[in-house]
Amino acid sequence: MTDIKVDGLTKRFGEKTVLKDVSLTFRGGEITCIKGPSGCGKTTLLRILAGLETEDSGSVLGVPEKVGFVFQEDRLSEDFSAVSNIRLVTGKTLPKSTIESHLKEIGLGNDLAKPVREYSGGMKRRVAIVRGVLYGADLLIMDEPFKGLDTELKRTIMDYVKKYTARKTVICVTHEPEEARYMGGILIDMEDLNK
Amino acid sequence: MKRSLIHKSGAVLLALALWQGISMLVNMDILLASPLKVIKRLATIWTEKGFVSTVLFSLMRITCGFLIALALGIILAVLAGRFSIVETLLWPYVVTIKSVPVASFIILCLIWFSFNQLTVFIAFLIAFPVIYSNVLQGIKSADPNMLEMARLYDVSWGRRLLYIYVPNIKPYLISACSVAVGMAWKAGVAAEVIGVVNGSIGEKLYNAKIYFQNADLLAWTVIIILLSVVIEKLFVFILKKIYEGVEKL
Repeated sequence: MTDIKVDGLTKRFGEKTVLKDVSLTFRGGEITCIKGPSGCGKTTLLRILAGLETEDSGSVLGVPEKVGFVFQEDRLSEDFSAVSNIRLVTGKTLPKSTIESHLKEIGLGNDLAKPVREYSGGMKRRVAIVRGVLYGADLLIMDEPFKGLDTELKRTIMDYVKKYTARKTVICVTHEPEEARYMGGILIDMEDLNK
Repeated sequence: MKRSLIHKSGAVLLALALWQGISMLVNMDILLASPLKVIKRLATIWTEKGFVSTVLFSLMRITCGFLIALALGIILAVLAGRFSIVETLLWPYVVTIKSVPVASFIILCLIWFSFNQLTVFIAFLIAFPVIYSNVLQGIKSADPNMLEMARLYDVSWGRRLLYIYVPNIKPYLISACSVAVGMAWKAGVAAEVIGVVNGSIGEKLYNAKIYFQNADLLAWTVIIILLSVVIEKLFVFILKKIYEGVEKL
C-alpha cells in the first residue's frame, strides 16, 4: 500500500484561506486520525484527497483510484433498506448474505427489512460506515463518523472498522482524543499543519 | 382529521343549499336545474340504454391519452434530466403546448385526425407538459449530497436513477398525476363537445345544451367529476403501490 503525500496544499473559499501550505504524509495501510477544532480545514483536506474539491495550489500523490468515504451526513436513500443502500455502491459484487452479516455484526440484525427512514440517527450512521467499508476501496476516509454515538457503540463500530480495514489506508477525522487513541495509528493535529 | 371532514361536509351541504336556493329563485329548469332534480336524473340516467358504452367510450380514450402522456412525460423528463440538450430541444414544444388555448388544439386536431383519435390526443396534449415538467423538477431537485456520494462511489446511471432520482420524483409525480388526470378529463370532454364525437360523454353534454336539458347537463357533469376523481385516486394508489415495490428491491 503506497503512502499518500500531500505537499504544500492551499485552498481558499473566497477571502478565507482554509488550507495554507499543508504538507503531510499518510502512511499506506495504516490508520491516521486527524483532530482539530471546527473550521480548521479537516473536511476540506479529506474532500481534496477524495477528489471532491480541487486544490488552489500544492499536490496530492498516491491516492488510489477507488476511495470509500463516510461523510459527516449519512447520505442514505431513506426509502430503501440498509442492504439496498449498500448495494447502491457495491452493486451485485457482494452477495446479500454478506451484507446482512456485516449489518448484523454491527447490531442492525433486527431491522434489516425496514426502510432506512425508520432508523435512528445511530443506526443510519452504522449503515453509512458499513457502506464505506464494504465498498472495498484501498483508502477509506471517514469524516467524524462517531459523532453523537454513545461510548459503547463507538467502540463496537471502531472494532468493526479496524477488523475489516486491516492493511488498508484509513483516514479518520475526530474531535475526541479518546476516539483517536482507540482507533490506534497515527494522530495528527490539524492546527499544527495549517498555520 | 375528523373535525376537518365535518367542516368540509358542512361546506358542501351549504353549497348545495345555496344551489337549491338559487334554482328556486330562478325557477326555470332550462337555466338551472335544482340539485334534487339532478339527483333524480342521476338515479335514472345510468339505467338508460347506451350509458355504459358512452362512459366507457370517453373513459378509455381519456385514460389512454393520460397513460401515453404519463409514459412519455416520465421517459422524456428522465432523458432531459440526463442530457440537457433534450431539455433544450423539448422546451419550445412544452412552452407552446402550455400556452396555446386548448380550443385551438381541438380545432387543429379536428382538421388533422379522425374523431376517434381526438379525445386521446387532446387528453395527452394537456397532461403531458404537467407530467414532464413535474418529473423534470423532481429530477433537478435531487439532493446534491446524494449525487456527490454516487459520483464518489462510481454508481452507475441506472442505479442512481433507481435509488436517488426515483424516490425524489415521487411527490412530484403523484402531484402531477392528481392534477393531470383532472385536466385530461376537462380537456378531453371539451374536445368531445366541440367535435361532437359520436357516442361520447361530450356528445351527451352537447345534446343537453341543444335540447335545453339542464338536469342532464348537470347529471353528466357530476358523472365526469366522479369518474375523474375515481381515476385520479386509482392512479395515485397504483403509483404508491409501484413505489412500495421499488422500495423493496
